[in-house]
Formats: sequence, C-alpha cells, structure tokens
Amino acid sequence: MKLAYSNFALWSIVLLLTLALMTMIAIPAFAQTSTATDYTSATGTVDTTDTTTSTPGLPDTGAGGDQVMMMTALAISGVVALGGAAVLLRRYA
Amino acid sequence: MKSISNTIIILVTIVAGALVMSIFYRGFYASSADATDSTVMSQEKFIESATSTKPVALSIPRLGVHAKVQKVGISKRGRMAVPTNYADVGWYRLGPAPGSNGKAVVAGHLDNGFGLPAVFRNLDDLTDGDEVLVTDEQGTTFRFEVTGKTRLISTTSSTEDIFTTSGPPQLVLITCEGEWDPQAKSYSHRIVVFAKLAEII
Repeated sequence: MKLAYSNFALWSIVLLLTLALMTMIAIPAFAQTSTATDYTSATGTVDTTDTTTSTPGLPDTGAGGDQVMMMTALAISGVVALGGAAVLLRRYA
Repeated sequence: MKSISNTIIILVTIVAGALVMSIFYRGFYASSADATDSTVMSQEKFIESATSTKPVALSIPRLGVHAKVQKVGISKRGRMAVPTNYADVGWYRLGPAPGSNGKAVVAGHLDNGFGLPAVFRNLDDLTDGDEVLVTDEQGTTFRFEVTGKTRLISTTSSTEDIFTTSGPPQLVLITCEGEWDPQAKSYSHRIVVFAKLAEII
C-alpha cells in the first residue's frame, strides 16, 4: 500500500465526494418513492386540474427513443470507471 | 505531484461510477416530470367515488401481462401521469375505478430508457374479445372484454371521450406508439384500447 493512510486530506476529499455523489443519486430516488407513497393515499389531498371541467393530456408512456444516448453514455462512463479502477488497482495492489 | 495524479484518477473513477449508476437508474425509472403529480387541490374536488375500491393488480392473459397498479394523477406537463417504473401500470385515480360507471383509465409504458420492452409493449396485439382482469384491494376481480382500439396523436386535446366519468363501466388501456420525437421526448402516437365490463368475479 503505497498510498499512505496518513494522507488524510486525500481520503477526506474522496469520502466527501463519494457522499455528495451518492446523495445526488439518492435524492431523486427518495423523491420518487415519496411520490409513489402519495399515490396510495386514499383520503389525503390530491392533485390537480379540476377534472370536471378539463381533462388531462395523453400520458407519456415511452422512453425507448433515448436508447442510443443512454447506451452510449453508459458505455463511455463504464469504460472510464473500469479503466480508472484498473489503474488504481495496479498502482496500489 | 503523484498525489495529485492519484486524486484525479480516483475522482474520475468515482464520477464515472456514479454516472453508470445514474444512467441505470434513469433507464429503469420513469422521468419524474412524467411520473409526479403536479399541484394540490382541495379534497372537495376529488371526484373519485368514495364507494369504489382501488385497483391493485391488472392481468392480460393473452399478452402474459401481470402488473401491479399504481395510482397516478396529472403530471407537471398537464398529461395523465405515468407509473414510476416500467413494470407497473398506472390507474388515473381522479377518474372512475375499474367496475364503476364511466371509463377507468390505465396507462403503461411501451419501453424503458434502454429500449427494452415494458409492460404494455404488445398492447397493440389485443383484439376484440380479449380479456383484461383487474383486481381491487378487496379481492374482487373485474373481467373486461376488449371492444376496440384507436390510434391518437400524442398531443391531441380531445381526450374527453377517454376521461369520461359517465356511461357504463369501461376500461381504457393506453400506451405509446409511433415515431420517437427527440424534441418532445415522446412518441408521436398513443394506442388506446377500450374494454367493457363483462363479469364481476
């Protein structure tokens, strides 16, 4: 282990950044869970437009058109993540 | 200097790893803009029948569909909201419940962010007479029979016939179809399947 454990500042930064990124990812996840819970409320207040006078538009029930973008982004970030992990592994293992 | 290099590699690796997780998340969970209800209104305007029970499961034997039912309202875009994932279906909770008078509207996704099939991928294959089973929270099953289907432009404003609260009990199933519009991030059309109540089990 060439990376000294005494390099406290480095590990602190890594830890903080990891926590920040996990939070960024987790917040939307929790937000959606919260929304889903709200759906189950039978007696609570509900949304939205007065449906006696107007009706909603048709739902957006597809996401597949983003397939190329999603797969490209996934591949690039996956390669970078694996590459970085490999470099770190070689350097410190 | 080597410490800085190490730091950069670690940071890049972490960011890339986080991106991978984020993309996976986006691929398997619907956009919050489409899934969330928008504003809150008073309970007095809540038109859902107090006596009707809420649907919890939907099956379409011919398509091999067995889905949980989420309760959805209206999205921030003014459209019917959609389920928060690609395996469940969403029942429009501001309208009639399945089995009640009027049209109970249920929407499901065509595909997910990776282009993989979602719950209503084969909805267009339904033909007249096919059965759709909806079970409510009390265990009652409503059997519907498909009576027809239509194809609508996604931006149509003439949705009164779909979201109606009067008439005999019917079920309406909706999913996407057509060409993907990258600007609108939506498909060009919707398949709308109509079914009539045939039996209460």
